[in-house]
Amino acid sequence: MLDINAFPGRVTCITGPEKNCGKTQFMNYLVQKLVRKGHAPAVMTAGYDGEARDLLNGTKKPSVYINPGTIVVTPERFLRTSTIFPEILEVVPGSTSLGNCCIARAQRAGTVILASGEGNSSITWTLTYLEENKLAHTVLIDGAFNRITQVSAWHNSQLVYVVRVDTVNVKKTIETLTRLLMLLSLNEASPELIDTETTFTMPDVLSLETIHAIPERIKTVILKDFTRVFLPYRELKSLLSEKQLMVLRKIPCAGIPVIVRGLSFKDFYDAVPDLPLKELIFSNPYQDS
Amino acid sequence: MHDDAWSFSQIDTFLQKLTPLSVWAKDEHAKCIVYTDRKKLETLYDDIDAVFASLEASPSSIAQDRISYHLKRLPRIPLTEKDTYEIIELFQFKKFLTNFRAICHEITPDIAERFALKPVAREATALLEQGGSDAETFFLADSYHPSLPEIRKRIVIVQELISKAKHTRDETILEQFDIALNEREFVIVDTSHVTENLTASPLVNLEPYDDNHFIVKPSLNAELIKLEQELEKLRNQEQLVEQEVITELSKVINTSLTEIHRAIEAIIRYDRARACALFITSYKLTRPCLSSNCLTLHDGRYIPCEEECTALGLAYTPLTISLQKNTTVLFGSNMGGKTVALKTLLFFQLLAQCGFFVPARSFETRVYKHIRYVGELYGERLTGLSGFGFEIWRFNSVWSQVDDGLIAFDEFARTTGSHEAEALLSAVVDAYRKKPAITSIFATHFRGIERYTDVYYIKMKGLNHEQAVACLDEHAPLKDRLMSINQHMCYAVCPDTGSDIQSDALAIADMLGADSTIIRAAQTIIQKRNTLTNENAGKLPCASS
Repeated sequence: MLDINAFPGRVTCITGPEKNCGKTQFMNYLVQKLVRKGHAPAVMTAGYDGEARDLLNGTKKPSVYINPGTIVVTPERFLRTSTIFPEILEVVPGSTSLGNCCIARAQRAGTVILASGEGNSSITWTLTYLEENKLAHTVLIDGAFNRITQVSAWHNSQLVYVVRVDTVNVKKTIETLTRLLMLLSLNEASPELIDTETTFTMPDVLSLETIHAIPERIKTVILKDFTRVFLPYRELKSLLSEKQLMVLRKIPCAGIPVIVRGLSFKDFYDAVPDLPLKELIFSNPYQDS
Repeated sequence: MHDDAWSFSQIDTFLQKLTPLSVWAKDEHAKCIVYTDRKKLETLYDDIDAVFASLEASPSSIAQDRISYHLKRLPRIPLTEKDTYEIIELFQFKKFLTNFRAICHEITPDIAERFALKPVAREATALLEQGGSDAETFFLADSYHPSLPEIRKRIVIVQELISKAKHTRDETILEQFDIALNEREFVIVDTSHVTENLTASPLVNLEPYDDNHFIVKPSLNAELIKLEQELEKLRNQEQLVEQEVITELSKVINTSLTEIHRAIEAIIRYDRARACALFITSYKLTRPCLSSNCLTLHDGRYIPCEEECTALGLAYTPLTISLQKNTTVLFGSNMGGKTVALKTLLFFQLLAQCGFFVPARSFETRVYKHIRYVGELYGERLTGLSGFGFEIWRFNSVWSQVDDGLIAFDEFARTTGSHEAEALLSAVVDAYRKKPAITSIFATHFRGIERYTDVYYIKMKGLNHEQAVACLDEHAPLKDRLMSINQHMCYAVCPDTGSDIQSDALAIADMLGADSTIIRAAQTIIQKRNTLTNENAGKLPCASS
């Protein structure tokens, strides 16, 4: 079940394993819920060139419905074509293939397309600007698909992971969610554990290439956060059977909405292993049970 | 042109501290321009003097903080005229003019006068100020066009009507079919909900979702269609009017573009001068004197070295040096400070010709067309050339390119045999002493080079052998040994008469822990050679018995 109180005062990155998994749709839902509760979130996206190409080719992208007073971060060309009567507050440094991104305040209700350039540095800059200028204390980022590292770009961030399941990809999705739950459950390493005889702190990511750098004798591997794990499910499971994995910083997950099609949510939920944090999985908010 | 001297002097590390705050001045600073026009340089120095005097006269940190704040906030703006600017560009113009005006407000009248820091483009500023809830934000306000208020008011009314109509429709759907939209654009329902009545209802559109579910989307009824069409029409009208407004605003900005460009030039000048002026006290900077043909430096502090010494807990000796003739030879042993002396000279000359004050009690020089360095640069390699080949290649380029300049040679010809090296070096010194337009300084440890009457010979004072030997701890780690060398090395410059043949190299090797057998053998060889050439035996202490 989605707990709307988990969102105010935080930066939430809404991401998912693939394109068109329902991230923007979910963000629309979340924005309206927050507005009804009296919060005015800022909305932005962590774009990717693939999405930019869609936009440039005219492939339809979902718009986000905005209320007056909402802070929006998007290229100026989309502000111009929006209906929100924007007041430009600042220009985000650096330009993108879609032009310069702006931070703007909606003066009217309406819809706007969100896009941005690549890179976590512009997200960090924008979030810092929003925080320092007290423009919004609740931020929703429509993340690029499969770019889970974006959620670690900010100190006060959390994740929402949207998945779309049908009869074709159900096994793969269960594996994806199992992997995610395993990572979300990793414990936080206390300072005394760092750089001891039996612990090893990964300097960067944990991947199929870097896993060989872990000495045999090591019992506990410590990473900055779970987004640094790039091991596929089977390799991760195998590692966890031999060693303990810990993180310096836990990144919370506010929920895992699952959009089912061709099967029931209950059947899917029951098929997911009973791992800690399984209760984060909830059904499509656009589907009545 | 000055790349080799620039790199050798490590001037970048100090110039970073003098980086201005505004993007415009930063761009200028990053160009690393070395000026060769004395008048231009004196103007830059006058600018720094003026800003410093102003800082001293009114040391209000609040005003300076504000100036810093506004300088940082000056944005880039388009520099070429456009028929219509983007809204984002109008925003940038407003932000620039607002912050520029704020800077003009904070500075003193004399500085405003000197740098032409006066508010510009008043008409454009006043117009742009109409759009935005504060000084730096921007939107196309109602006041820009008489028809905008009405159009926008109607848009809001129609939006509210649409919202109400949708709410009424959704309530009806709930009442009739027990399907709660709850302000969602659609809802996915079980097939059991899809009754005949629902299928036939004009209130909704149905779409199959999967075998057991349908998507229920509320449909647009006649009222909503009409309202949406009106909204679309109003939106188009609004956009057309906004475009007219943008065109008008663009025209006004274009008429002010020349003034705005001048404002940018003024900011660049002021910000650069200010960046240096702010460091005058903390770094004890002085104004270079550009009217002297004899390069003279009093207590010059080579900042990169000074800071490194401080970090290592070592003493730093400022350099005092005067190049009495156009050609100078600087002798000194290894670790005696020759290279740092050359770096210091180039650092000061470059800094002065970049238009900045320098960290010295005084610095007198002239403007050189070229400032060059011949010697080894860290990490440098040229394919196909040996070390000596590379030295000659570098020398050739300076020899052919420089007709008026300051050139520093660091251990020239060190990569070949000492006999030929001394000959070659002597010949080069001879050649340069005949070029009065070039000031050259040769740092070398070769004592056997020719001595010419119109060449100035100096040396690094070097190691105090007795004191160094007395303090030597054979078991000390390398860091302590280095500190000991530093403590007993005199980095001052003094005239060289040619008669002092004491060598520091063996003493330093001994202090660094070289095998004492080898040291003693070397000392014996030197003594034999000195006996053969009828020179006085050097006083070469044996640090280890």
